[in-house]
Amino acid sequence: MVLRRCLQAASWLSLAIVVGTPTAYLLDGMTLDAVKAWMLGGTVLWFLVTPFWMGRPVPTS
Amino acid sequence: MVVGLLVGNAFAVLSWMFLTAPIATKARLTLYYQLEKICGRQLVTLYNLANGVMFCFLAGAMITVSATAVGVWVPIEMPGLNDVYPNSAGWVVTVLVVGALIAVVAAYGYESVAKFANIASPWMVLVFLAFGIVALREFLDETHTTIRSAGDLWALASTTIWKGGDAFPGQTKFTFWHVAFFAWFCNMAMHIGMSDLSVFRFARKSWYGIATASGMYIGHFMAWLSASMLYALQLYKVQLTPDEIARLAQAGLLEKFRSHELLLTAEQIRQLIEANVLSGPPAVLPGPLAYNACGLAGVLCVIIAGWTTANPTIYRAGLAFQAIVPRSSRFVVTLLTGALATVAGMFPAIAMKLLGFVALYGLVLMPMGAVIFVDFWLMKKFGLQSNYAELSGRAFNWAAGLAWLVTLAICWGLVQFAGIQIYFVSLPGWFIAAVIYIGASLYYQKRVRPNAV
Repeated sequence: MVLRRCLQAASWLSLAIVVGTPTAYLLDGMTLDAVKAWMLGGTVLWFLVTPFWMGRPVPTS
Repeated sequence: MVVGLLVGNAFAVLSWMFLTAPIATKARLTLYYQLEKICGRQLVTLYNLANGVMFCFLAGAMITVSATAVGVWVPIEMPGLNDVYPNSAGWVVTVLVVGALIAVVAAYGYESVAKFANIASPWMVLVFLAFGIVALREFLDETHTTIRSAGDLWALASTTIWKGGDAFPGQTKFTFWHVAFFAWFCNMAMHIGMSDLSVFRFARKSWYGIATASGMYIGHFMAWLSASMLYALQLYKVQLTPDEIARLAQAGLLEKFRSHELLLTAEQIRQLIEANVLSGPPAVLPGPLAYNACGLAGVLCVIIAGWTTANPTIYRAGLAFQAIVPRSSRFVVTLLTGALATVAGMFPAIAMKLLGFVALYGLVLMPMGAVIFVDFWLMKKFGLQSNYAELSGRAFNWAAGLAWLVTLAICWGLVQFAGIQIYFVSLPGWFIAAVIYIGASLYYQKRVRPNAV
């Protein structure tokens, strides 16, 4: 259960990166090249961790 | 455009809620079983054939979309907005490779792809949002605009991003009504055409149809706005090659072009085509557009979106064809279907004219939706029997067949000779199909009695 929560947190973090960095660019807080690099990092993180919990049964104990 | 999408998507959601879901939750049948009871086995086979062919073309368009992503890395000549036929050997080979991969995966069953699509979807939604955010920032930089209020944002949107104007050469001018009707009817096969009976038969209540709003307002509102912003940005920042700039100078248009009338209008594009600078309006190439905005993550999003759409579509088309020849191998049929979709994907006209194709797709399947609606709700009011093919044991209910084919012929006539555009013809078409089905059934059910077999 703890591992699942950690993985979920990592997934949420990756989504925050994917949408947060373009928002930072909109607000002039980041360059476009940096946004592209961060978005790729967020994407890799999402696909690395999400399959381990999404769509899988929640452990009962 | 914004209001048109809001209104059109609302009508689409209402169509699911009040047309599809009530029948689905009462009858609890798949579309094909419901149709077989009404129309008979042979007419359903004909419907399956039409459905399968349409699915093939739709999957072909998605293969085209995925193939444009390859062009980000491989220097192939990409198709233009007005291109109909494949324009280079590189393009054909690219589509062939992408299509073959998608077809093989589809042939092995789509469960793993469906799982992958579920995992990818939250990420995909946010990447689409990112496209819009990045495009907005780029517009602010290009136009040296600062946004301090919602009014500033609306001014930028209405004067620079979605500024309207004449249609590009070879394209249809879209008004509010075009946008609203397109948003309503682009999934017409699913709601008014009743394809989603198969999905909603599992819903506990008919009002669960409102859940479609999430798909509509994320996919067909936010994502479409983001995509249109990327294309508007491409037009604004149009980059010409040195050769094109030389030809522009020769034509005496360079100064006009450099004075930042760079937001290409229909008139400017016409001038550039006449000056032999451009061969047509700038192409909508999802791969490069996404790469410029969000880098590799953007390209991955385009590939995954195209793949996860094409895959189940090929699978569904395969099932529709397999229903015609039930003893055939699903693996082989899906592979052949994928091959057909790949050939279709080589022709950029389907993807570049997707709006027209989707309208045609909805139109072709819509009359059967009207037949199901009338058969379920209205037949008894006219003293007629529902599910008449089942009742009479007939394999081809001519009343339903006539409603389908005559409606299509009338709609075709309205488009060809009455000047009604294909985006609008489905609305009168639905009522025409309903009236023909009732009229033909009054005659047919007198001639073909339930105990005739």
